Amino acid sequence: MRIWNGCRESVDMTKLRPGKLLMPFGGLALMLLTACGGQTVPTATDPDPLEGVNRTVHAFNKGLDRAVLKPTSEVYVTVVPPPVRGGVSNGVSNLSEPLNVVNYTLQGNVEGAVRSFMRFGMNTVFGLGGLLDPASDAGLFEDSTDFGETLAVWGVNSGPYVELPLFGPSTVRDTFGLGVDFVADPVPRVLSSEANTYVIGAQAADVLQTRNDLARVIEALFYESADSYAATRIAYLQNRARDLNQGLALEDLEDPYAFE
Amino acid sequence: MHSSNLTLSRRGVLAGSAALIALPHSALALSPDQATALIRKVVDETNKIVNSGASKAQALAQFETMFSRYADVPIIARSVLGPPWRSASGAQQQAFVAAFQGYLARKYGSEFREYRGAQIDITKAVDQGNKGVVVSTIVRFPGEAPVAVDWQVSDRSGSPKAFNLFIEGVSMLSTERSEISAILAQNRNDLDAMIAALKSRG
Repeated sequence: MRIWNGCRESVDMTKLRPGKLLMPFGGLALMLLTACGGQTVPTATDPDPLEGVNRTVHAFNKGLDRAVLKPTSEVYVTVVPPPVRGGVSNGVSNLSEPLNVVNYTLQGNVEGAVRSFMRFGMNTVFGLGGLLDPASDAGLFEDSTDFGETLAVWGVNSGPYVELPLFGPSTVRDTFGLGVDFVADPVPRVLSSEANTYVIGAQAADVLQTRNDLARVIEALFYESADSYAATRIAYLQNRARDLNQGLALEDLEDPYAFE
Repeated sequence: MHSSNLTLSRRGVLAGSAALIALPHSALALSPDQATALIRKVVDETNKIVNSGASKAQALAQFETMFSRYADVPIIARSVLGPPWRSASGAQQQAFVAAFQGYLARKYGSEFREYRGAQIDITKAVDQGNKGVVVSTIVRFPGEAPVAVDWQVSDRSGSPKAFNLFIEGVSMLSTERSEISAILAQNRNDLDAMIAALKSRG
């Protein structure tokens, strides 16, 4: 399914029924909405209008990683036994599935919505409330989505590349999506405030686990690249384009034989 | 993509035929099957290297041989260096291609070494016209989400060769273009100094 290649015939916002959760943001979303045919994510060669401020934030993020995140994640994976870490990360991942179901549904992606729904059901019922991940063992791997991707499917242009403090690479659209996901997530609404406190703690622990899982990639991008900002930007934009396109983005294909 | 590409003028057809007569061995586009056969060799050799128990140094040397055989390294090097390629002397161009080949082998060979024990499957091959044939592979690790690796293949060097690869959508050509231009800037745009620096990177 190549919904991303070229122009969707029409983006009829009324049919999509974002629901009242998203209403306060409707105006802003429409402001971001651009004419059909606009590209979805800047390519590596596109201008980077926020480069100055982005580079400052990148230096901050790198410093934070070096001083806090990396050493803390190393302590975490050394001190906390693997089954506990696995349970924490599985739990966090499981609680993100309801929001995935919502976003996949808003995208009209039935397969994605069903997979997230099945994962949530299987892992909650057969995986000790989500601490285990029998769904992955059955071949139903996690494939998360977000409201930034939903906006992309609706035809909203990404706007320039942004590097956020703590959260890292993003775009204007995806930063806005991050905010919507935060307020629209159904899970915190049904949990007690005490349970939510545990969830936030588990999410923080999961960040440490993720830092450890991605150690090789982060090491290569942040500390082995000649220009870590540029390398991170390219990696994020092209990986994101692939996700949105559900396959290689044609804009990223080159013809190096046509060398002028 | 642009339908105007398909509307051939008579002059275009004639010029095209003339080119075909003049260059009988070139530009008869590579078929998806031929591109798949090349990537099959790359996958088989990668599997052999990473699962052989060879030391890191041995494996990287084997990857360099593999890259020189199956990748169009001179074209990749030229494209990645960009405008400075044109102002470089022939000797500098040769030195850059040689240093870049070693750098690529160290950097991407180290990446491929992580694929030990993985199962690599070729999923499809799509003809993308002047962008070559894109061959998609999936690297599956037991119990983990798979990694998508895509290859751009062309025979415009005279034989089928890979000229780009994408790991989860991230293009080697884009990444290395940014890296090489940054290393060049770090060396005050001195090409010889950049080539020397490249030999200790990757």
